[in-house]
This record gives sequence, C-alpha cells and structure tokens, in this order.
Amino acid sequence: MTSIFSVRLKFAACGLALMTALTVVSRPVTAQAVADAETFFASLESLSAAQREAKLFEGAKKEGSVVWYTTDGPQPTQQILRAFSKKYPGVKTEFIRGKSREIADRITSEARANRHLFDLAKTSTETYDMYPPNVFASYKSPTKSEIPAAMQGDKWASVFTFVRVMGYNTKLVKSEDLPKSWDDLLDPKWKGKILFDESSLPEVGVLYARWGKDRTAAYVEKLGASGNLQIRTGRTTLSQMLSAGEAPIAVTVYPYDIENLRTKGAPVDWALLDQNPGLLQPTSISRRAAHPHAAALLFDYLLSKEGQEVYAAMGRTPSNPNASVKNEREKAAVQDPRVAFDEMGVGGAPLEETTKLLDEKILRRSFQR
Amino acid sequence: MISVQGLAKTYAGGNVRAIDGVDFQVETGKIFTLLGPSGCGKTTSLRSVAGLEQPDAGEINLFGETVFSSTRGISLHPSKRKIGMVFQSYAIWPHMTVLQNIAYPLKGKGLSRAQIESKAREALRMVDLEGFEDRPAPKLSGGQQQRVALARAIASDPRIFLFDEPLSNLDAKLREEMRGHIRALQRKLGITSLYVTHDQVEALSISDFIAVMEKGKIVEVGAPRDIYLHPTSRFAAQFVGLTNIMPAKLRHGDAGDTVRVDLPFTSLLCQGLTTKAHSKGDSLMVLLRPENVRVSSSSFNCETNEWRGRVISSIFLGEFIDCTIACGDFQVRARVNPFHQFEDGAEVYLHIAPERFSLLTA
Amino acid sequence: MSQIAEIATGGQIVRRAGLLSLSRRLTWRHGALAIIALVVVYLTLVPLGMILYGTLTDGPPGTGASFTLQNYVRAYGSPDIFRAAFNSVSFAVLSGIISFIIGCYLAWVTERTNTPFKGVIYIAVLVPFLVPGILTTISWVFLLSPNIGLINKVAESLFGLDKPPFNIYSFAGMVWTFGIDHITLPFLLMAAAFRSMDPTLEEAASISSMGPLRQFYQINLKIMFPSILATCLLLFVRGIETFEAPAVIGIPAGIPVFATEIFLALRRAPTDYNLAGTYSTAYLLITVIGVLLYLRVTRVAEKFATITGKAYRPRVIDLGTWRYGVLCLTMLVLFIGVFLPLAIVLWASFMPFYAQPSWHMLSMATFANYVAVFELDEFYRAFWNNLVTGVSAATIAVLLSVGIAWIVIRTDIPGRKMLDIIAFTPIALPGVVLSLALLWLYLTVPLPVYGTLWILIIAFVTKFIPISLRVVHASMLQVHKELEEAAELSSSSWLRNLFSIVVPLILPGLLVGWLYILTLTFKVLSIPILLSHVGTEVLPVLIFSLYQSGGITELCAMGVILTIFIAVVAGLTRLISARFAIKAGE
Repeated sequence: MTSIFSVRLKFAACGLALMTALTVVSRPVTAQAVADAETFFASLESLSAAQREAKLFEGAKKEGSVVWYTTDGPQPTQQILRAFSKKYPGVKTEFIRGKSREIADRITSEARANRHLFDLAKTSTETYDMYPPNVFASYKSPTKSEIPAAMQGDKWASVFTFVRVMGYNTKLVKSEDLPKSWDDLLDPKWKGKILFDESSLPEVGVLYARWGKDRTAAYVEKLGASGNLQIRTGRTTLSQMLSAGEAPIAVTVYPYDIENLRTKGAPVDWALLDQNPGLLQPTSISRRAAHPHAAALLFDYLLSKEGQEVYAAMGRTPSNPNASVKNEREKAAVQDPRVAFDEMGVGGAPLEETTKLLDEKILRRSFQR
Repeated sequence: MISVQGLAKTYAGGNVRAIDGVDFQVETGKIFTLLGPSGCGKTTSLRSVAGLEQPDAGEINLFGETVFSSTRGISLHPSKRKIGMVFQSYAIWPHMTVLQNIAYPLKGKGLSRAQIESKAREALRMVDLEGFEDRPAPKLSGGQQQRVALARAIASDPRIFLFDEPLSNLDAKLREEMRGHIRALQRKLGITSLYVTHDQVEALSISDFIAVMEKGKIVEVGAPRDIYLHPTSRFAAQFVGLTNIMPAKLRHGDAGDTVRVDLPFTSLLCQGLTTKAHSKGDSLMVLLRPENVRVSSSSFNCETNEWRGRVISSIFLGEFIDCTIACGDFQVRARVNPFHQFEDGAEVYLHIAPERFSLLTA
Repeated sequence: MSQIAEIATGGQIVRRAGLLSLSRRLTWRHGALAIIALVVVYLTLVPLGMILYGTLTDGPPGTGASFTLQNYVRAYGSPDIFRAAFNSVSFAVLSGIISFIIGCYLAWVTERTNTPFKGVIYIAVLVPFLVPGILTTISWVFLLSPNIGLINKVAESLFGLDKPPFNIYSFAGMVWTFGIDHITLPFLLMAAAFRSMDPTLEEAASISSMGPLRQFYQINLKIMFPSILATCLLLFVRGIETFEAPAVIGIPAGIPVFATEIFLALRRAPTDYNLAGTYSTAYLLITVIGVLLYLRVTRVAEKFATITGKAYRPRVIDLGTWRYGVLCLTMLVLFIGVFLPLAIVLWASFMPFYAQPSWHMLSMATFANYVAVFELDEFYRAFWNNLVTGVSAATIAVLLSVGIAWIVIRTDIPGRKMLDIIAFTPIALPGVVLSLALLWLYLTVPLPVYGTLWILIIAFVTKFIPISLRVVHASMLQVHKELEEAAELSSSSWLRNLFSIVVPLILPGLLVGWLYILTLTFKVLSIPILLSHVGTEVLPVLIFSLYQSGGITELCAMGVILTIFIAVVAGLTRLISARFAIKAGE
C-alpha cells in the first residue's frame, strides 16, 4: 500500500508544486477598460497645465500602472521608463515590444475580441493606417501642442524621428569617392558592394513620392539588375556588418546606430543621398485605456522637454523643438531638404505599388541570379 | 486446478485463428505442458490463462474460480489471478536489483516492509541465489537471471505457475540443469503448473501431462510416456521425437494382441497392440522409433521382423550412430550403438522386437 | 445444416466478445488514457481546425469572412513557390545528413567506446544548444564570409591564396551552418539509443561470421531503426521550417527556400493569417507523409525491442590505441563545429563592436556588454519566465507523450494511429500561424489564459509534443512488452507499473526529449513574440529585440551567459541519467 501511495504522492506533489509555481508567476491580465477615454480627456482641457499634471499623477497613482506596447528596443524603452518612474514614483510601468507588424497584429486581435489591455502604443508610419478606426483616442494637451504640426495628428504624435541614410566603412571607401545620389549607386564599380536591407520599403516610397511612378519603376528595375546590391535582413545588423568590413557601403542605415559605433571607435560614418526617408514614430493612447490617467501622464512625459531630452541623450532626434539635442548632425539631417517626411507621413505612399516594386524588381531579381 | 474450455481467439480482424476451441484440465500439483511448433497457439493459450491476452470465447477456471468467461463477461485482471509467471525473455527489470525485482510483486498487498523482504529472501534461497540480493539485475548470467525470474514467480505465493518457453534462451547444458531445477522446485512446492515449449525433450522430461497442439487445436493429450511410445496421431508421432512412418495393411483382424501387417517390402508381427477397431485389409500406419531398430552386419537369425537393407549414410553422433538404411523403396532411420561401424553401401540386417511398434489408422 | 448453425453461433460468440472487450475497456486506466488523448486532441485539433478553416476564408475568424479558394491560388499559384520548396527539401535533407552523421558519430564515441574525455565531449556537444540560432548563424558569417571571414583570412595568408577558399553565401554555406548547428538533437537521441542497446545481439552476430560492416548494418542499424527514423524526421521538419540560416545566408546568396517565401509574403502588417495558414498546409502534407512512413516502418515493434530483461550489459568497445585517433578526430570535429563559432561569440562579447580578432582590438576589450545584459531588468524576468514555462511545457509534453506512445504501442484501441498523426501535426504549423490561432482562441474563450504564462505553456506543449512523442515512441519501442506484462502480473495499478517499470527504462529518452524541448523554449521566437504579454516575456523575445536594435555584441554576451547555464544543466542531466540508466557491466 505504501509504495503505491508514495509513487502517486510524489507525482501529485510535483504537479501541485508546478501549479503553485505557475500561479505565483503568472498573473492574468485583469484590465478593466473604461467606457471611453476620449470623454475623460476632453474633461481635462479646462485645467491649467499644473492642475492637469497634478490630477493625472493623482489618478495614475490610484490606477497603479501603465501598459505600453512599443516598437522601440528594450534598452531605450527601459531608460525612458526609468526616468518617468523617477519623476512619478508609484506608477508602475510595463511594456512589451515587437516589430510594428507584431504590435499591429496584437492590437487588432485584442480589439476584435473586445479586450483592452494596452494604454499606450508606439506604432509606425507604415502600419498606422491598418489599425481599426476606433482603437486610438483623440488627445489634446499643452505638451502635445509644443510638437510641430507636421509631427502630430488628432490621435497621435511622433515621439522622435528617424532618418535613414547611407552608411560606409571609412577603411574601405574614402568620403570623396562616395556615391552622392541613388543614380550613383548604379555605377558598376559598386558591383556586390552595397548592403541593402530587404525591408527598405520607405526608401522605395520616398523615390516614388519625389520621382513619380514611372521613373521610380525604371530606376528600381535598373538597380535590381545592376548586381550591385547584397540583400540582407536586419537593418541594425547591417551596420555591424558594415563596421566589420563586409562591404564598403550600406543603404540604408540609422545614423544613431552609426554614431554609436563610431564613438566606440568603429571605422564607420554616414552621409545623405539625394533622397532619404525620414520616419516619424507615431504614438497614441488607447481609446479604451484601462489606466487613462497614467496613459495621459506618460504620453505627456514622452513629449515633454524633459522626456525628449532623455531620448536626445540616447542619440535620437527629439520632436519637441524646446529639447536640446545631442546629435546635431542628425538634427541637421532631419531638416535637410534631401530628407522626406511629409511624403512618408501618416497616410502617405501607395503601399501596394512600392511593395510590389521592392519585392519583384529587387528581391525576386536577386533570387534569379 | 486449471480448467480451460472452448478457448478461441482470432487475430487480424478475424482472419487468423490463433486458437480454435482449446479445452484442457490441469490437475492440482501437476505440470501440464502445451507442446507444439511455433504458431500452434500454445503461447496464446498460456497468455489467455495469465490474462495477458483476451480470448474471443471460452471459459477459464482456476481452482473453481472463474477468471475468464466470455458468456458471463468475466475477465479478471492478471494480477488478481494469483499467478506466478516465467517469461521467455525472463523479463527481469534491468533497472532494479535482484531483491527489488523479487519484491515488486509483493508490494501493494498489505505486507509490511519486513515481511516483503523476508519473503523475497526466502524465494531467493529457494533458487540458490542467496548473496545476490543487491546485485543489479543485468549483472547476472543468463542462468542466474532465469532463477531470479523463478524466484519472482514464487515469491507472491501463486496458485499456479505459468512457464512461457523459459529455457529457450539458455545454452544446452544450462537448459538441462534448469530443467531439473524447475521440476524439483515445482514438486517441492506442489504448485499446479502450465508449461509451454516447442522442445519435445523438455516437454517429456518435465511434464506430468503433455498436450500436443497443431494449428490452434489440441491434437493429443497424455502422459509423456504414452505420448512418446503410443502416440494416437500422426502429428504427435512426428513432432515428438523421430519416427519412421510406414504404410501398412492389416493381415489378420481381431486376433488377440498379436497382429501381422504387410509392408510393401516385408511383413511384420506386432504385439501388445489392440486393433479392435480395424478389420482385415484396413490401411494402417506403422510407427517405428529409430532407437528400436537393431542393426547388424550379420543376420539375427530371427524368423520374424528381420529385414535386409543397405546403409545409405551413417553419422557418428557420440551417443549413437544415426543410420539411414534403404529397405526396398523405404528409408529407415536407426540409432545404433556407437561401437558399431558401418560402411556406406554395406549390406545390413535390421530387427525389431514385435512389441516395439505403434499402429495408427491411415 | 450443421455448418450454418456453426457459423451462426460463431457470429454470436464474436459479438459477445466485442461487448466484453468494450466493458473491459472502460476501466479507469482507459479513462486516464482517454483524458490524455482528449487533451492532446484538444491542444492540436482546435488550432489546426481554425487554421484549415482560415485557409478557405478571406478574413480572420469572427469577422464575417466569406469562403474562397483565393488563398491557395495566391500561395501556390506561382512557380517560385515550387522552386523554393525544392530548395527547402534539398536544404533539409543535406543539412540533416550532416547533423545526423556528426551527431551519430559523437554519440557512438561517447556511449560505446573507451575514448578518453567522454564527459568533455558530452558537454561540448550540448553547449551550443542554448546559443540563439541567430548568433551561431552570424558567427559562421564572421568565420566564412568571403570578405571578413576569419577562416578565409587565415587560409589566404597561410597558403598565399589570392581568393578566399570559402563562401558562406552559397547553398553549401547554408547547409553547413544549419547542419553543424543541429548536431545536438541526433547526438542526444542516438546516444539514448546506443545506451539502451543489447550487446548480446552484436555478440551473436560477430560469432556468426558476419563482417563488421555487415554486422553494423544487420544488427545495429536495424535495431536502432525507430530512433534513427525519428531523428531524421525531426531534423527534416526542423530543416524545412527554420528561418535563421535561410534569412541570414540564403537571402544574400539569392537562394530562397519555402520559409523565405512565407516570410516575404507575410511581412506586411497586419499578418495575413489566411495566407499564412495556407502556406502551412504544405508543411502539413509533408509531415503527415513523414509520420505515415515512420509508422509503417516501425510497425513491427517487437522486432526492434532491445531492452528485453535478459543478460543485458551495454558494452563498451575497446579501441586500443585507435582511441587516440578517435579522440583526435572528435576533437577536430568539436573544434570546427562547436569551438570556432563559440569562440567568435565569446570574442564578440568582449568587443565594443564586431571586428576581426587582432591585438589592436584585444586592447579594446570591455565588459560593457555583460554589464548591459545584467542591467537589463527584462533579462532576469525573461530568464525566470523562460525557465518556468520551459520546464512546465517540457514536463507536460513528455508526460502526455508517454500516454500517447503507450496507447499507440501497447494497445489495439482503434484510431490509435490517427492519434499519433494528430499529435504529430503541430510540428508542421509555423509558429506564427499557431500563435495567431491560439491568440484568437484564447482572446475569445473566457478562460484566464491570455496574458498569462499558461498561453505560452499551451503553445509550447502543442508545438513541441511531436518532438517528445517521437523520442518517447522510439524509446518505448525498445522496451520488450514482457517487461510490462511481468509487472501487470504483479500489480493491477497501471500507473504504478508505468512509472516504476516503463518510465525508468525509457528515462534516458525522456530526458533527451525534456531537455530538447526546454532548450527550444529558449530558442524559438515565433511563438512567444505574439503570445507573451506584459510581464510574461521570455528570452527569445528579448534576444530578438536586441538583435533588431543592433546589440549584436550584447547578444553575444547573453549567449555566453546562457552557454554557461546550459553547460551546468547538461552536466546535471548527465549525472542524473547516468544514475538512472542501466548500469553498465565491466
């Protein structure tokens, strides 16, 4: 009798321990969505900036936490949230991150199932239009009004901006030999020497917007046929590969990536081509936010001079003109006429056509070699 | 006492009849052997008694308790049938020590730890394996493993023993030794046993009764001596030992216990056989064991049952010489004393005592 | 007349027996089995059904989508997909052969020979297990790229070559990278098979004047057939599914495989669930064929049984002085296959950015990457979450597999083969498809699953049950059924017999399956990327985030930390498995 018991007991005990461990570790997401955050936000408009902040902070502490879905990296997110928590202690910050497609999948699926789990979301210009119409809340605030009109809309504001530029390896190519334009990239001397990320849709988009359909199509055809491109996946890895000497040139990369490597001593630098995509980083509040006070508090913080300078310290170009900038070079690039924001802004390029051009003329072409 | 009635089982969706109406009874304290070639259904019958196999039909009683009945929907779990079984592969659990192997069936039966251990040790003593308690089971020789299997079967005081070809994995010498061991142990404990083998020597030496099986049916049941000396079926005669089978015709019907039969090349006098069922001119079969044939290079000067033949081959096997001798169109196998020596092609005389034949209806 | 009567009674007997066996089937043991089967069927068929339904509609479930065949036209309407599929199959077969040969050789060396330093070899093979696949792939680029490859550079200067001898950006490069990165699975599976093999069979064969080669073929190969087949099947499926090597090497090399095509078709937001599901039907088809083939070949289970419970002593072959030769060869294989890529990872983990090893770069070595990893709050939480979900999922999957394998091998319950196939199909579902299906299912079903670790465990169990099932199935085939029958005569408790006889005998196999699943939860990204939520992140999500945001050197530091962790776990597993395995005779 004893032995049967002991075997069963052992297994029961193991199972029980497992269950307990899991219950302890996993707390179900028990968010209680409010009816409509927009009504609440509208009620705030009569308050002064200081009153508003005090009310939001008070409410946020009661709500206890704020949930942010973001497309940004884990380290920058952790840094900005730490700064936020320091200023507003007692508001727990939580985030999940993913590529813009994954964030879009998640938010649309949750919305469809009527589960409202996020308060704040940083999306991307490419995916913004795909969200269901009532997911994000209209939002106005004194802080938001500091952001230039081109970098915000009724339901969003860009927390910072990215420019994508040409990167090069200073050991492999001299700055005077660099291509100056997309047309220069067709030169046969660059055969197999240009790293190119397969997800370069905004690049095609900016050409399309500036050059029109026919010229872009003809150009992309030539670029694909030139054999100059080395197709890669993963844009920031591209920068690392560039610094390691895999190829002399990479189109296109993020300047802050390159700056980062350069300050550590890597032989890399960047320059503008004749057309460069600028990317806004639209951030919105959920219309059914479970923590509307905290969401508004965080949103305002991200756009405030203080929050923007945290981003600036990481080498990002802030949207708020009042914030001081560390990376002057990129800031200059943001204002350079060769960089296109407006065309690529929210609701911009004909996505289907540019996707087709990129896929068929460049990627498929590389498969047929 | 084991009683099996009308056992039947088909495989492969009813296309293959593994056993087809098997009936037998094993008296208390006896060893009963199911003997037959592979595929004859002997193992299926044994496994049905053990409860490891589910027959389609039939009834099995162990000491008056019905453990299986298709009509009454009874089927007792194997462990509830109070059986000790020794498997062909020994089935010693290789991850346990000898003592753990033997103690496993004792656990969960309401015995104390000390009782279990003393019972297990007792069983080990009976198979002469004292001192091996803590050996890992795989570190034993084949014969020792077999004895552990035996001890495990004994330990839980079974009502019956089942043996499924337990010696087939041992070499010849060890097999003989283990045979004696099993026999002695069974006698000593007096446990009713069912034994399955395809080896006729094993069957003859170990059994109280033998059932010869063929194609899912029992063709003959009897004591070893009867099965060997006076088989009542051609199959049993051929399967158990070597037999010369010769077609014959009865010359005198119903003439006391001595009859004369005609073979194609000679006539024979057979004694001590009842042929009441036969009448003159009936076709019979004469069965003649090779060891009953006397062979000599000179005539025995007997009037009856002496033939002449020519040696086709003679193979020296130590205990005897296996001779094949042509008599007319027939080839007779004979076992000859190893001191004899015959050249191939030599002319020899054969003699068989009249009482050393068996007769079968053709 | 009498004949007809006989037939009539015969029929009655059969019918009665049918009733009887039904009543016997309804014991609680069968109840337990039924529950296991139901759980597995629920776990696999529900998402599978959702996906298959999705392939025939034009929108996500619950959005009033209408029926269409358009998805199939889009997925399979161009010849590109068939060329890619052909590439996939050749890639999976060739890299599988590399993994299998090397893994099998290493398993033989550690299990059946007296080559010295076996423990070192064992750990060395397991070490790359936890290194993120993306890292090993990149480290091979750093070794074999024609421009910056270390091996190429060294070879050029050593032999005065004017062209780099290797080009990673080729089909061969892709095959090699993936093949060498997957030696652990065949190693573990084959080691378990070698360990539980009965050498008396080999001895019998060598007595019967077979040549050594023929002996190997006739005895070893045939006996280990289920294990070999299971290994090959798993390797093949992993090969056609993998994305890292095709993405990092295949795309630059201009060689698209099936997984690349899916990636390209699905990278636009939001994910076209219907199209994704439609692509997965090809995997489904291949997998079902694979399982049917496997089941057919291993049908005669008893023929293969090797743990029979008679004189059974795993034997070690004395190689004499040859063992030093074998040791050298083994060390060479491990040096190239394991040490070199790991050394690159280790080197990079101390660099501020990746550069080829040089004295100059060495002076720039820094701990900054390690500091960055340890400063990341997410790292600890993700690691802990990963451990909890990984251990739970591996344990549940293995236990369920024991139940399924037992049903399939030891019973004649109708439909058991179907059960085997059903339980194996999730391996064909690409992670993104499976996780979308689960996401939608548990967002709508009112169970407190979404947003907890449970949804990850459910997804991992579903996705990885095929792996443990094949491993457990192959191990259980090796256990002779008489060992179980002897237990059945001893005790009526099926569970007790199962856990004190069968489970200990197949423990080496169980541990392999368990360990492999655990490590996969540390590696597979496609499932947690959608299913983990606030507070339930696991490591692959973090790893991918770091990769995306350019932290390759930090990723390398994390890889080194994980490697040290797995080395410890592997050491412990080896200890446990040595303790429970059948003790080797001397």
